[in-house]
Amino acid sequence: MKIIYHCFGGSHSSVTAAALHLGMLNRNRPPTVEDLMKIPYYDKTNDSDFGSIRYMGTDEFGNEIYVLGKKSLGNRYGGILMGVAEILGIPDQLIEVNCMNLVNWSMKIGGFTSRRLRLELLGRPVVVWGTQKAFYQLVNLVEITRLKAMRTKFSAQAT
Amino acid sequence: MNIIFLGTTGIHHTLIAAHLYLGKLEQEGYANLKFWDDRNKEVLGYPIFIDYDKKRNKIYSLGGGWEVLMTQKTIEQLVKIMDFSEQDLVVKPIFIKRERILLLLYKIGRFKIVNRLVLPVINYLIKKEFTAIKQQVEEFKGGVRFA
Repeated sequence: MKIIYHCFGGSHSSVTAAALHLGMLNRNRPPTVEDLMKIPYYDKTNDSDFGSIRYMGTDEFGNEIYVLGKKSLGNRYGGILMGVAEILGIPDQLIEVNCMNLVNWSMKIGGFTSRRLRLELLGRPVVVWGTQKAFYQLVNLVEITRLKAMRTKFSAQAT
Repeated sequence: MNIIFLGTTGIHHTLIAAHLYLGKLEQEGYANLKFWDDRNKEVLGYPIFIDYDKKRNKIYSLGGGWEVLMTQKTIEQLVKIMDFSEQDLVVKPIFIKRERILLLLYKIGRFKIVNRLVLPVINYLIKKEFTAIKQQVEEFKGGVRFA
């Protein structure tokens, strides 16, 4: 199964969620700056990465985890992804997770300053702070996604 | 094979492109097409199934909002990630000169009263672009390779 976490830039919330899913971050405490900067793609993307589905790793159940930046296309993008999966006849092989709801103002302002304005020195501390604030909500989202993936897998095996 | 006609909205110019491709629309009587300006369909984001062509390919129409090329890139990558190829799904973007105005009008027209005013303008814009849409469909027909 493929799991795609998506957010505006595919650089902060989706990448953090994917890292949590893959066990790259300790889910019992908020990550430090060093923890976050070790994650592939965290605050490192550029404009050409918008719309690219980037591979982050494979979890212990064999699910491939990806991240995606979709700009401001919102929930529609989830519909597009699942619609394509349905056209291909494999809707049970894909889970799309919209992380936008968990993006707080610190992440928005910090992310914009760091990635769009290229002022990493100013933006990065703000976006890291925002990520730390949203951390436990992201943990919750990832746990729900992992359960959903297991449930989908078991129901597919049963049928 | 599946073919998706992709544009800023999936219920206007791409809908016409899909019908032109299917040979179901020779003249400009598109306002009575099924799914024309169907906002309930558009808002879901799912590709809208139009019909089968003569070779049993499934034809869809899809709106990608402000980011048509980005959406095309994502869909093409997703197809590869899911272990399929362009023999299974092809995305054909349809561009018109006034596509941004069209999308803006679509967004403004979300309220029923406003929509009554906006819809004739959308119809007028599409009428102006009809030849360009037809040309892109003809080019695509000539170039697409079927499985």
